[in-house]
Amino acid sequence: MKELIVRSVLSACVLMILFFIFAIFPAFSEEVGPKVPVPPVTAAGPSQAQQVKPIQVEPGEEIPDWLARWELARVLSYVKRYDESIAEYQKVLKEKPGLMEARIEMAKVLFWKGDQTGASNILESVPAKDMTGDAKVLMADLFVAQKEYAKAGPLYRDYLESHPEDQAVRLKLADMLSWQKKYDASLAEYRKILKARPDDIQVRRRYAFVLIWAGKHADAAAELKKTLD
Amino acid sequence: MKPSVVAACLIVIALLTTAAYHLLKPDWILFRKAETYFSEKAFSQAIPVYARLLERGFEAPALVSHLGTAYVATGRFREAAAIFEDILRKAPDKLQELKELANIYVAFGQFKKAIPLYQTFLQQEPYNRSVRILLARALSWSGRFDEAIVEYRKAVGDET
Repeated sequence: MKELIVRSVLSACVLMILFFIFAIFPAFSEEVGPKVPVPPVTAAGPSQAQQVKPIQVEPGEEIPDWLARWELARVLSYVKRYDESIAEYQKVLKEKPGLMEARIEMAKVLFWKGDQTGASNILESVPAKDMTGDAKVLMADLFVAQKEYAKAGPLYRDYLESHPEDQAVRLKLADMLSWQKKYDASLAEYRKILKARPDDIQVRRRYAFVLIWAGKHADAAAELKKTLD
Repeated sequence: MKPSVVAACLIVIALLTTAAYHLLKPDWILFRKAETYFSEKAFSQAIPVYARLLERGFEAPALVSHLGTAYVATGRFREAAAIFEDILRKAPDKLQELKELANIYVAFGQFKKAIPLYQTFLQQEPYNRSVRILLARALSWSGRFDEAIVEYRKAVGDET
């Protein structure tokens, strides 16, 4: 008899639980749904559609101060407020000293401001493995400004190995080689540029001048004639 | 009454109640199913269920908004934009939807359309740093650098 009572009570309990799960809970959930998390904005964003930086923030996630400052530093540089930009870069780097990309950008801003020494100092603190192509070109530009052509050449060449289509940088190298009176090497670079941009009159005229400096007057005359046609 | 009879009664009640609920409130059952998918981030499964409920004229506070968010999460931005635009036509001060729609406009490079939405959001939540930075980015990407700088400065606490 006692066993029967226990079994009955247990059955009743199980049934009550089932009753709650199947009958009561749906009705309850009708009024108050569970709090659901808002999904992240998985933007196939401007990076894909418009080639601009995508929004990387998920709902609830705070954009860190240093990132906002970094963006601010960039925007300040766009409007040539270099001193303010550099101040912001310094704040970012104080908090994130290992942020080499910001360090290189700051060097660029210093360069644009005319502080070549400051830019050089910054770039020298960037480990070789972190030197981006842009940083190498900037470093080379700085060496050229200081007439240290021998140091600039390998940097331009290194960059051009991975960016052979960048004719603007190749032109810098061609010019620099001509200033060093390495005319054959300079002319070789000019020919590569003109192969890619045969209608560029300005480049062809510069090529003609290097031909003159190299004593190849007839070739120079032919090239100059092309620019007049 | 015998315990076995009580048990039988409870079983019958439970089954009848469940059956009745499914018969009388099928849309709520469907909605809970969609919400479960949504909470599990199974957005592509949630979308058709939400859409079917909308077609049937079912109304629940989170339905349309969650459908829009699910569209965003699955990269169906045009559908998402249409949903949020519709919500904001009826209730222009809905913050989450303002932000979602602005983010979609930015994703499509429509910065000029995104900027006023972020600004409206910030009128109601002026201390929301993230949205202020999103506004600053949109201003910057649309070439309004001076305004972007002001917003960035506010966001990082250099200006109040």
